[in-house]
This record gives sequence, C-alpha cells and structure tokens, in this order.
Amino acid sequence: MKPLDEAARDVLRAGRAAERPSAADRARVRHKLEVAMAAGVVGPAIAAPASGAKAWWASKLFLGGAAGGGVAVVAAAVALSLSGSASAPHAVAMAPAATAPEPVLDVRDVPDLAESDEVEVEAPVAPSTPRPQRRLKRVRAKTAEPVVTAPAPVQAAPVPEPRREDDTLEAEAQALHEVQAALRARDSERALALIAEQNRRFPRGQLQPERDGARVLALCASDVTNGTAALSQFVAAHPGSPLLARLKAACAK
Amino acid sequence: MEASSSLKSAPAAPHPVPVPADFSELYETYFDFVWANARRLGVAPAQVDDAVQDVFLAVYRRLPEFRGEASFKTWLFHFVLRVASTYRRSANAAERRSAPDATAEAADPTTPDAQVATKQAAELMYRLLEELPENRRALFILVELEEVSVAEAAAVLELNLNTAHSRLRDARRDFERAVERERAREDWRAR
Repeated sequence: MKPLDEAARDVLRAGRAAERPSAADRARVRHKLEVAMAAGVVGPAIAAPASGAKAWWASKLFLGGAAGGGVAVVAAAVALSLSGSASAPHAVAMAPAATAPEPVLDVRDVPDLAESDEVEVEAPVAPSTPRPQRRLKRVRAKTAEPVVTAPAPVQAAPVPEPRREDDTLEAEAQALHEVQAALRARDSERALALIAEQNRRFPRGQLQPERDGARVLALCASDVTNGTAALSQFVAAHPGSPLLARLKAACAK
Repeated sequence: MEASSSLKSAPAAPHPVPVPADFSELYETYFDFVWANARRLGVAPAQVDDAVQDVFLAVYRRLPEFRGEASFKTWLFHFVLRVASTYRRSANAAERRSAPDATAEAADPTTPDAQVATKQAAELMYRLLEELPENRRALFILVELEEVSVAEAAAVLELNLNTAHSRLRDARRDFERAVERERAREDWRAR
C-alpha cells in the first residue's frame, strides 16, 4: 500500500509533537475526576470491547487460534487512589469483576444520561463471528462502587429462551436511547412523543421507571408546572427510586 | 507498545499485561494518550476535559474486564472512540465553532512565537483529521499516529482486514488532499 506522502507526514509529525496537554490540563482533569469519583459518578456505560469479541481478538492477535485458553481477568487487585493516599476519603477499592464472559449492555438511569451526556454503547461484535447472545443487565443508580458488571444472578439462573427476552429488553433499551438523545438535544417535545410511543410499545417494559424519569425531565425542561406534577406522580409510583434526587434537582432549576 | 517499565502486571495474569497497578498510575500513564486521541477524534477543546474524564470513569468500571487479548492502548482507544463519538453527536456544530478554544493562545501577543507555532501545528492536524470521513478517521489515527499495525487496528475497529486496508488507503488519499488544499490556502493568503 502506498504510504503517506512527505507533506502529509510532516503535518502529522508536527501535530503530534505539538499536541501534548499541559501539566495544568492533567492536574485539572485529575481534580475533576477525583471529585466525580468521590461523588459516586460512574461515567458513561461503555461495554468493554474484549468481552464482546474474546475469541475473535484472542485468535487474531495473541493466541494463534487457541482462543480463550486461560486468559485471566487482570487488574483484579487494582485499587483507586488518585490522591496517592490510602486514607483519602474517595479511595475506592476496585472489586474484581470475576469473569464476564458475555457482553453486557448496561441500562442506566436516564436522568444521569441527560445531565452528563452519558451514553450507552454496546460492545462491538466481531464481524466475522456469529453475533453472541447479549445479556442485559440493569444497573441501578449511582453508587460509590463503580464496578457494576458482575452478572452473577443472571448467569446463575437458567433461562429457557433468553434470546426473545433479551431482544425485547434490548429493543426497549435502544428505544430509550432515542429519548436520551432527544433530552440531550433539549428537544423535550420529541422526547415526550417518544416516551408516549414507547409506553404503548412496551406496556410492561422493564425500563418503565427510566421512561417515567425521562418524562419528568422533559416536562420540567419545557413546563415547570407540568414537570412538578409529573414529579409528584413519579414519587408516588417509584417512592424509593434512586432517580429522585436527580429529578428533583432538575425540576428545581 | 506501552511504557511497560513503569507498569506492573496483575499477579494472576498468565500473560503479563501492562496495566498499571493502581488507577492513579494508569491515569498518569495514559492521560496524554486519551487527551490527544479525544482531540484527534473531534472532541472540541471546550469539551475535552469532560470527555477525558468520561473515558477514565468508563475505563475504571470496565478495567476488570480487560483480559489482555489486545494491547491495553488499543483497548483504551475503544473507550476514547465511543466517548468522542458521543460528544461529537451531542455537540451543536455552531457551538463547537464558537466555543472558546483552550489552545487558542495565538491571540495573546505575549505568547512566545514558538509556542504559538506549536499550538497551530496541533490545531492544523486536528482540523485536517476532522475532514476525514468518520469511518476512516479512527483507523487512520491508529495506524498513522499511534503506529498500530493495520491488523490490530482492524481488530479494534472490528473491520475485516481487507476493508481496513481499503479504508486506510482512502484515508491516506483524503488526508493528502486535505494537506494539499491547506497548502493552497496558505499560498493564497500569503499573496
């Protein structure tokens, strides 16, 4: 294949040499990260790529076809201590997630997504391999323990026809992403229309609380009076919801 | 590919994997990588702090799933790619254009000329990368800037190897043309 010409390479060389962030950039983001972690913010739900393409990556890159063979989960003992002090209040021990043999699509609370641009991203699937079954795992709200991937109960339970159930939940999660996108785009009208349509489409949906929460957000963004009423309904329907604090904060703005 | 001298591998891993033993070290080791690739993938200067933070938060959660089947850097790149994609989608193009540019020190007459030139070189590269079609940009960045093999880049991006070669060829051509256009503009301005 023809390599890049010299002029293009010069641009890349100069650009690469010039793009180093400063120490101030590094310190500033580090501080933000510490604050976010101390507050229990878990960040965007992005599935790790290796979980979705284990055999494929392994055979392509490292194991010469002997995929899997004892490749262990690493970093089990990784601990977080951004301050460098073990007694720091935000120090969080990272629990080993054991093995997560199948890709997990986390379905997380919509208000967080709307407020912090979080997004759900499926683990990519190797094009040359059959698409593996996905298990869906619902991650409840923010906690101080950011490890949320261990799907032990799901794995332990025999699931006679997981494909159909997974498809339904996946479709529901996918539909909810559209709501999230509308909220991020501050298009409350579209978000509400989508929610109404999805309530019809998934009358017993597993993501109903998230949809209700999204509805509160959309209404509060467009009409405080209606939003407050929707919030009251939400409180009545989901009194213990971890979304409550977020919704109240959003509607109080 | 990683600077493994300062990294410790997890004790139980049969294949030593250069993952820092604590998250603080991981942050220090890979901050530049994440920052640079967020910018290369089109995250606006005003948003890059948040994007980098999101990447590290996501990585923190997913780190136990890293099995060493790819290099840590390319595994990490996956997260940068996803986060950058989200930021690009959500950012209003007009806002992006008008956002204060943290690196725009050229306007400051007290900034040394060499520093200005350096910043401009990076900005030029980002601008030209942005002209690449999205489905070629990440591949181009991995191969041309991160010096990852085409095979590994194809694996990270889940592309067929032939497709990856084809896209890389197109991306190189696109980038060369973008550079040519830029040179032509510079010449025109200099007249």
